[in-house]
Amino acid sequence: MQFSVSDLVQIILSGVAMGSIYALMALGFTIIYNALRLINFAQGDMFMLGATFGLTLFVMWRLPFSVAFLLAGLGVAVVGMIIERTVFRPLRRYPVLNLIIATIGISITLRALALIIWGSQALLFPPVFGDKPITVGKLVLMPHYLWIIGIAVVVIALLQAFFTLTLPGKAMRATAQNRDAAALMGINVFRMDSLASAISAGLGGFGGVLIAPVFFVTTEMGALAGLKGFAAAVLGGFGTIPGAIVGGLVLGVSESLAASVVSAYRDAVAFVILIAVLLWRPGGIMGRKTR
Amino acid sequence: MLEVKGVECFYGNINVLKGVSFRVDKGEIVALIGANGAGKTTTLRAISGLVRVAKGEVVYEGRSITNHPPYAIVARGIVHVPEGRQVFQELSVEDNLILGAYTVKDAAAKRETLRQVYERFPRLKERRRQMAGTLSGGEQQMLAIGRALMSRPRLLLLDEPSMGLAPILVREVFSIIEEISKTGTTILLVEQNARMALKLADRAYVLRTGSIVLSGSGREVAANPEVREAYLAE
Repeated sequence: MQFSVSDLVQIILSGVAMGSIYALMALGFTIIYNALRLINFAQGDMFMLGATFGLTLFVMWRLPFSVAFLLAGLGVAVVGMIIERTVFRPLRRYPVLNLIIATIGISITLRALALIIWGSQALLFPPVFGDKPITVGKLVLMPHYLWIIGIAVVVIALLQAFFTLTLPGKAMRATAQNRDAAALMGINVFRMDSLASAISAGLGGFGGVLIAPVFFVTTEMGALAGLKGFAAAVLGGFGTIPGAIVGGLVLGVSESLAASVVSAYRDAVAFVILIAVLLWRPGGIMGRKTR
Repeated sequence: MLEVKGVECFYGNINVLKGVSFRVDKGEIVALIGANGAGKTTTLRAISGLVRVAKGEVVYEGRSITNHPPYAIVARGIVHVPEGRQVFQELSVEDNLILGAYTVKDAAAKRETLRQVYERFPRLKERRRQMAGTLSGGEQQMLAIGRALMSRPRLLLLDEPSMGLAPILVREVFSIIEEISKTGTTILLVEQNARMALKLADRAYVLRTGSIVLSGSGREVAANPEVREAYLAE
């Protein structure tokens, strides 16, 4: 098969765009893991809720996309907060495995609720980012990929600024590093759990509403997205923010490259890459070498 | 200022504190000494709200703070420097200090306290951009104390501040404790180094397997034959 430069640029661009979505998902897994030491199997459903909330706000309520985007992300963040308060907090004093199983329960419940509200049909989200390719010299680019990348970059930059420049952000990192010591600083550690849960759900939600105009929206769309976000987090080095970003991008680009050769195996390729990288570096690409 | 009345604590089914009672008056340095596992750390954790008090009461300035959440207790002016420093390893020295003032709202007051802490610990100022985890043990202890001072505590709970430090640093830590006390901060000091602690303390209590077995002035406790044999290794 012969690729032109333009083809290659497009393949990489779509890979980076998908990778940005995976990075948002992976960051969601990372942040809640650092706070509560749990792998949240409902993270994929935050993605689905972002897309469905976005659909309702944009298509049914006819809000401008920018408003629908923000409200969908914030709405999912509120869902994350409610889950923390009603499920994670009461279960905190039991072994973490109980919590992880509980997240599977949350996932199934949310999917069932979504099925009742939005139905089993795949729903079409209008192509808000435009569906006409733009040409730059010889390159033909799909505008929605550029939008996805741009918005994801802004979201990640804001997140990074929150963690490094603001007091609540520093308090959240401190709580993740040493919970007791953080409590002794006067930090309300439960409020930090709530915030971590909100942020991680919100990141999933933003991912979902960003991807909605590119794919169909279904109540089951969270399953694969969650799995890939988790794979990206592991690939990059689980529990680290740079790892989540790098893991997401590597997964997105390699998947896109692989799909352009053998498109039928797109999803399988992602996991073959994951296994290969983990055999080479068990701690992930950015992970600590010592294991 | 602080009264601990018949406090009992459990870890699982193990009764770690079996009715501990003592008091700390304003301006004092009170030492709590005892062997490993006697319940010294648990006593401090019970005061600062990190472990549940099953029975008994902790009274601070006339009001019960029993089983209040740790952040509420910090807000009342009690700050606990935990055993083993427990600085935030992957945050900078300065961010550690800033988090120490988490409950302080007034930005100008925060800056002023930070300046004073840097004045007292010039090493921390030199290393303020470094990750706390890269500091030496002694520097981490200074950071842990400096971080506690950031909220201008009225009662400071110090858990084994000399643990694992070279003799010269142990003396430095004790002289810092003395200085802090002179600025009007009340201190409850838990120490394995009973000799130094008793020399510094106005009063002392001896804890053995979850109960107070002896109390008195620092000198009296140090002169007790049993204490001399068990904790001063004479």
